[in-house]
Amino acid sequence: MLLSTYIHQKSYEHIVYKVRRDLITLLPAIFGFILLLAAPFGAYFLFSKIFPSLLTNSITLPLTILFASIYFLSVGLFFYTYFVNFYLDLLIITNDRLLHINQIGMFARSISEVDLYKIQDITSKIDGFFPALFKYGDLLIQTAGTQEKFMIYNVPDPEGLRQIILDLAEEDRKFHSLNSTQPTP
Amino acid sequence: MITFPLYIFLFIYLLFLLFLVFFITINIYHLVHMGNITFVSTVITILFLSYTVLIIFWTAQQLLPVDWQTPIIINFANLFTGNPNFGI
Repeated sequence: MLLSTYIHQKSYEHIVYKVRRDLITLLPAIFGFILLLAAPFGAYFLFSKIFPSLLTNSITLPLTILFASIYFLSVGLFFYTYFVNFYLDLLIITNDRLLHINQIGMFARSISEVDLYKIQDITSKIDGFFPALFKYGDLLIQTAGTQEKFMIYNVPDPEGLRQIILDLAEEDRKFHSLNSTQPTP
Repeated sequence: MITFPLYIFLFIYLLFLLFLVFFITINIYHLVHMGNITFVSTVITILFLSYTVLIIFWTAQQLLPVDWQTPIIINFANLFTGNPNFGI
């Protein structure tokens, strides 16, 4: 399925930007994955010293192999699921509205939407050593809609993004004021 | 005392593989359904699937010579005697 179909893109609407969380924020998960992959080798070393018979016995050896296989497959699945959750969190900026898709775990998702002309204020925030170093941070969007605040975390270049959304909102506001002043035939 | 064949654990492993396939399918479905098939997501998916196939292949290679009919005898009397084989 195309993203445009998923968001029910209008005929006059086009996607200007698709913003995901900065890939650098995936690094802690990658390090965690590597650590979890390395842990069994340490365990193997310990077991071969303390219980050497466990790794040679005709019953415990296949059981250890099966357990190790389940462990490695689970770690891989955990990381892949984490990546998919990370990747499905998406901010879509069109020339008409702003959509925030937030994937919560495997079986839950929230989608928030706001018309650009309803945006009142945007605050960008870069807070911390790594965010300052890699230029990523949060965006707080205040609107006149039912959902007053939008918080989007760890987006790359939040200051540039803030300016882009403000410019698009201004354009959309002009378009809406122009349409509302035109006399109806 | 309880006696059961070793292949019981193989069935547990196969059940786990079914569970794994289910969750992989759900993840790929999410990516396709939400139109998120990009270069990055495709590369990560291919890497993950290769890793999974490699682990399963390694497991199969290691377990080929095993006699799955070997009975496992758990002797409860030996469980608490400090036997390093845990009663097996």
